[in-house]
Amino acid sequence: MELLEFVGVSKNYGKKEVLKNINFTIAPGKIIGLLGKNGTGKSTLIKLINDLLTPTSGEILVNGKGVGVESKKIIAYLPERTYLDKSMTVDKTIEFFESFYEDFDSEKARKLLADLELDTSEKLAKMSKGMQEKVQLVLVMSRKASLYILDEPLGGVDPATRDYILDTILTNFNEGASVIISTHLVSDIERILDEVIFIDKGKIVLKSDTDELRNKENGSIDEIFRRMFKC
Amino acid sequence: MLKKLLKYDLIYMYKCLIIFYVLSIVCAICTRIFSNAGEALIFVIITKICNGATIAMMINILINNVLRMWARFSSNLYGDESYLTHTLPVNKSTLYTSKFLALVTTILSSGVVIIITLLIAYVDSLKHLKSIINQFVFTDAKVIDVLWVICIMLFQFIHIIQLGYTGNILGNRHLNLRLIWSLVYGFIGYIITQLVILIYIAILYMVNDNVREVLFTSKGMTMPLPEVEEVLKVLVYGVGVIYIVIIAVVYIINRKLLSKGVNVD
Repeated sequence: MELLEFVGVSKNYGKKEVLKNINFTIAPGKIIGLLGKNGTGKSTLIKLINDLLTPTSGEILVNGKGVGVESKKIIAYLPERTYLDKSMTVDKTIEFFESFYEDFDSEKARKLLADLELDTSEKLAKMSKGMQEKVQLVLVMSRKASLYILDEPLGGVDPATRDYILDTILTNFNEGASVIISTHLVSDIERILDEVIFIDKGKIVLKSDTDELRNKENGSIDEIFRRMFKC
Repeated sequence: MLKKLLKYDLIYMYKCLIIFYVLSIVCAICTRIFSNAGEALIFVIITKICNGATIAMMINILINNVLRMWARFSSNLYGDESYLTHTLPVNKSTLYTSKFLALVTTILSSGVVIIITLLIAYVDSLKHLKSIINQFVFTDAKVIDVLWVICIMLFQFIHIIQLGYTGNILGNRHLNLRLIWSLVYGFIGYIITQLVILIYIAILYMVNDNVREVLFTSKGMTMPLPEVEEVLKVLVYGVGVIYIVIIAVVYIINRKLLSKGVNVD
């Protein structure tokens, strides 16, 4: 059974069609890059999987079932914005995740946060935005999920932090799980990807295995991306 | 899951409300102490100040309760935090139930604190309490009548906050001007529910002669007081029951609306 399946999914904002008849599947155990320029529908697609948007038509299946409580139990989602209650301390936030997600490993989270030399008794509001994002990443990657969805995890961060983020993702995701990483910073992540999905103007324009694509097009994913999305 | 959600909703609410609860009771105690301190001008002035502060604190409790509940609902279900709220393994209807229970709990506790504040600050004895009640409610008021009048006031707050939720849910379905749409829907909801109450009064007008005479003719002024009070009781108890029904209906509607899904910005 496919881990994730989009069946004829469309999403309109008023008269504007943001996603058009999206069909694709994702198998377990893959790292997939959801690649496209800004404003092409990547975040919309991710929000649909996470029940933050309601599709205009079509169906999204996670492990063969519609999006709902069961899918949320196995999906760990990192949005592009900071979503934690900033009035809470890191300790309380860990407690929060522990109480809602059965697959949350609080020991792992504490260890990763200790590596960041972070005072867990400190309130999130007192931390820099960058640090809040790292806490969020740690919390998401401390879940033993079947599908990790990371929306622009590398957006607006310095190269050193990018390395930290990629390293945290690669060393902490659950074995056998799939990871969807949405980004337009292709060169930074292409080395870790098993598959790529190119999205443009609300349509999937390409879905391929990365090695096959490199051989076929005789270039790196970044080069292919630049060629395909040349303005 | 409902218990866990409710716990976090209540923590958020009481973090601020507790401060106003304590301040309100402290002000009430000060009012009581200084009002019994003597007739010197300085004590009269201090009593007046404490009196004002007590009233301000009680109003603060209610305003804070209403605004914080709305703010929590909006940020939790449609703001940045919604990215976490909607990805928790919880049904959307459970999310709503938690918000509703937090609302009822905090309004009831705020009501209790306000009553305690009033008793401390202004009531000298049980006899005094009864005379106040008789003055403001009915001449032969029983405890249950008084409690019912207080309940209606609390129902109104629950009702208003819940309609704010309805406005928020519907307003956030729009692409633009979501805040304005939320206010519009909330206001429309309020008008509709008040019309229901007016319809109840209209029905009473048609079926109950006394109601007709007390409310719509000048005969009410000359009618014996017990008869007038009987009419008022019919109105007060009926309106209370209608509020309960409206709150229940709006609760069911809001749950259904939220269960249909959201479109977070």
